[in-house]
Amino acid sequence: MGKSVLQTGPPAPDRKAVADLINSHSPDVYRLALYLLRSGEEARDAAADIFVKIYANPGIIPEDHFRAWLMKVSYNHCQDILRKKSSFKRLLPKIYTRITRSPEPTPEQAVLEADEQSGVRQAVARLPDQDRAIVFLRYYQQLSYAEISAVLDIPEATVGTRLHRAREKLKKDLTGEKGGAL
Amino acid sequence: MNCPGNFEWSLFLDNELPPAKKEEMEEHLDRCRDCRLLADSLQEENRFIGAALAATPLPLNLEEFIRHRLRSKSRAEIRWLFILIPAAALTGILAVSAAGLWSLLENVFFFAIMLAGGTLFTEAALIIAGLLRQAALASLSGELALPALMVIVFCLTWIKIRLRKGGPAHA
Repeated sequence: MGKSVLQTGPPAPDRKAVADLINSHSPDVYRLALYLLRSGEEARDAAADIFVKIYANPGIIPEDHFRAWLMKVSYNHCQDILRKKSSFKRLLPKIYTRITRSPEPTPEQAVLEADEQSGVRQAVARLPDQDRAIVFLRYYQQLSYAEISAVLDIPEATVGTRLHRAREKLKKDLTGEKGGAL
Repeated sequence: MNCPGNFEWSLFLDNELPPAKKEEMEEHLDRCRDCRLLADSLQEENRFIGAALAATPLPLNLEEFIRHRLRSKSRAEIRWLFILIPAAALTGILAVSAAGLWSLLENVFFFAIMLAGGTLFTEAALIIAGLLRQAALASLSGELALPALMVIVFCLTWIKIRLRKGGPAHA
C-alpha cells in the first residue's frame, strides 16, 4: 500500500474532499466499529463522530497509508468508547444492563442475518475484542501484518500468532455449529 | 523439507514469510499434493471470511446520516464563534484598561514565542501564570471585571473543547 491509497482522498487541508471520503470509506469505518462495539446504532454514531473529527482537522490526514491510518483512528475511537462504557458498567452495573439490553431484531435484520455468510460474521463477532479486530483488518481490509501491528500497537509477530489463533477459534466455532462450513 | 503446518501456510498465504523461506515452501508446494490441497483450502477460507465480512449489512442512509452530523457540527461551530469572538474581544479591551497596555503586549509576546517555537507547555504555562497574575492584581485593586471575564472565557473555551469530544482524532 503506497500513495495510491489517497487516490480516493483529497490533498490534506481540503474539507470538501474529506466529506467525499465518506462515500468511499464510511462502510469500512462502520463495519470495523460494528465488530468492535457489537451494536449497529453505536457503530453508526461512532462512524459519524470519526468523520466529524477528521472533517474538523483535515490536516491530520497522512499522505500515504491512508487506509491503515483511518483504521487506526477508528480503532482508537472505538476503544475510547469501550473504555467509557466499561467505567460506566463498573459504576452502575444494574442500570447499565437495563439500558444496553439488546432489542429484538427487526424483520429486516432477521432477513439479512439469514444469508449463508451470516454464520461467519456471527462467529467473528464472538471472538475476543482484539482477535475480532485482527480478523477484520486482515481479511476484510487486507492490511499487512506490519500495518495491523501499527493499528493495534502490538508487535508484528503477535499479529501472526493471534490471527492463527483466531482462525482456529473460527474454525472450531463453525465446524461445531455447521459440521464443516469452514 | 517436512510438510509445514497450518500456521506456516497461513503466513505463506498472507505473504508474510522471508523470501528464502517463501521460495522453499513454493518448491514444496510443487512436489506435495497434500500441502497443495491444504494451502488451497486455507486460501478459500480466507476468501470466504473476507467475503462474509465485506457483506456485513450497512444501515440505510449511512452516508446521509454522517453528512447530516457534519452539517450540524458546522452550524454548532459557527454559533460558538459568535459567542467566543465578542467575548474574547471584550476581554482584550478590558484587559488593556484594567491591567495596562504593557502587560497585554507582554502576553502577546509570550504567545508569539509559543507559536514560533520553544517548549509548548513551558510557554503556555508562562502565559497562564501571567494572566492569573493580572487577574489577581485586578481583584486586589477592586476591579473585578477582568477576572470575571477571564473565568467566563475560560468556561466557554472549556465547554467548546469538551464538545469536540476529545479534539483531533488520535492516530
